[in-house]
Amino acid sequence: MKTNYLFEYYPHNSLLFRLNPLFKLIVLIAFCVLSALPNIWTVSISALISLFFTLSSGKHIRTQFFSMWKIFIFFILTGIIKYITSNSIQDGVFFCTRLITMTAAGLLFYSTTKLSALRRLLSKIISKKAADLFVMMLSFLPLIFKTAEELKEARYSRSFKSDKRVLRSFKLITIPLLIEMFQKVDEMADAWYSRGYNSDK
Amino acid sequence: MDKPLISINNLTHTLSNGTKVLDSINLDFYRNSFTVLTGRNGSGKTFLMKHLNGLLLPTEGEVLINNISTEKDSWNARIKVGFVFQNSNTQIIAQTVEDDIAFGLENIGLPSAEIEKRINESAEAMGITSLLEKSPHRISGGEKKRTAIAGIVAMQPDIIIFDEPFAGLDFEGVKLLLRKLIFLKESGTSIIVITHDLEKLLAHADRLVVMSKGKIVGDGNPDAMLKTAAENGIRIPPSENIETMTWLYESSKIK
Ligand SMILES: Nc1ncnc2c1ncn2[C@@H]1O[C@H](COP(=O)(O)OP(=O)(O)OP(=O)(O)O)[C@@H](O)[C@H]1O
Ligand SMILES: [Mg+2]
Repeated sequence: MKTNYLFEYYPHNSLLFRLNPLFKLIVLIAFCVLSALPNIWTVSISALISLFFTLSSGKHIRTQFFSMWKIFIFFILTGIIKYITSNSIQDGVFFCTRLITMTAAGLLFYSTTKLSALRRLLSKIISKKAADLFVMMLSFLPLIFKTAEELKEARYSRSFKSDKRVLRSFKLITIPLLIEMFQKVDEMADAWYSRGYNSDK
Repeated sequence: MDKPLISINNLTHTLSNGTKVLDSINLDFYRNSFTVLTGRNGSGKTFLMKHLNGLLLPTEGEVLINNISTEKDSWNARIKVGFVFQNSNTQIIAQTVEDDIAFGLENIGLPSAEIEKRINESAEAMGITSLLEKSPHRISGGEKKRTAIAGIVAMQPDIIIFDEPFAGLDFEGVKLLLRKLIFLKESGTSIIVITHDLEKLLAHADRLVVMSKGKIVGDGNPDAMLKTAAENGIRIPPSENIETMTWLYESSKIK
């Protein structure tokens, strides 16, 4: 059984956890913008900083980061494709570095931020409805990974082997995941409403 | 007689494929009442209860909460009628147990001192004080159930619906919940419990409602309704067991 779900908040005591959520959100956005600029300095500095924090932020976050290696290989591949199509090594490297930087920064933000605090702060500066919608979207992302994990466990416990037959895996995991997610959206709305949530108040 | 807290008039719910999940239901619920709702799997208990707090709206008929229709004002229904889901996994929203209990309290706009007080009270009542800082993904099934219950109880609604609350709770959890149910009833909250496990509750319920295939087939005093319940597939506890359980409640109340 996995004890770690990607993008799951994990109560912990460190500087990153204590920082103001709104501040972290702004830094996250700044990071994404910085790493997107076609400048060798901004790309490498933002990459270094986010990697430094990811790797120094405790075992929980490190494990999550390294468990994404499949995704990183995919990023590197897209970098290589970028290199081939644009015929510039720099473009390829930038592209791949950016993706990894953004993922690391996103992961850091997620695992160290209390969405309830963010919701409270955001609703002071933007409309309450928009803040709620944003937080609802954010809280949905970890749920996707958790559901995928649960589906896999359920399949494995019935002797399903994740074999080379991609199509079969797709049929048995990806499609149920999509169906499950649609149902989860409904259930989440029910859960919010049954706890007195009102989009107009 | 008092004005009913909840009044269900001729409620019918037909799905888009033509199935009638609920068929002409008429029921009233009053203050200070303790109702047990039972019936076979799939008889429509959860479906009916979701109409009481406006999560579902009738396709025919109406549900009135304090005389206001759930169709007109579903928020009114949701804060007056608390609903503890059958599957607590789907009820938990936040990243920590504490935040989860706070979620409803923030929605009804309580000041933060009051929120903190109620979190501590309800966590203590459900025996989860030591879990407050934990992530709900990392607690056990029964602990999740307790968290979900604490989250609703803390909102102090006029009436609380518990959908199969005993499923998955250990003996201590059952005792804590029973104690809380009795306490809630004594302090004026109405209770509706959906359960197949009459043994645990019969001594304290004042009404037993039996459903079958989307209809109410029995409604009245628990003793008078036992036969109907048995005809609808519910196991009737032997009377000596009911007495034992009564003794258990008394002892748990004193402790
Ligand atoms: N979302 C849905 N869409 C279509 N049909 C549904 C849906 N939810 C429930 N049903 C159907 O409605 C009927 C009543 O379901 P309900 O969940 O109310 O049963 P229940 O009495 O709570 O059963 P249990 O004791 O198993 O919890 C069932 O026949 C079920 O198949
Ligand atoms: Mg049910």
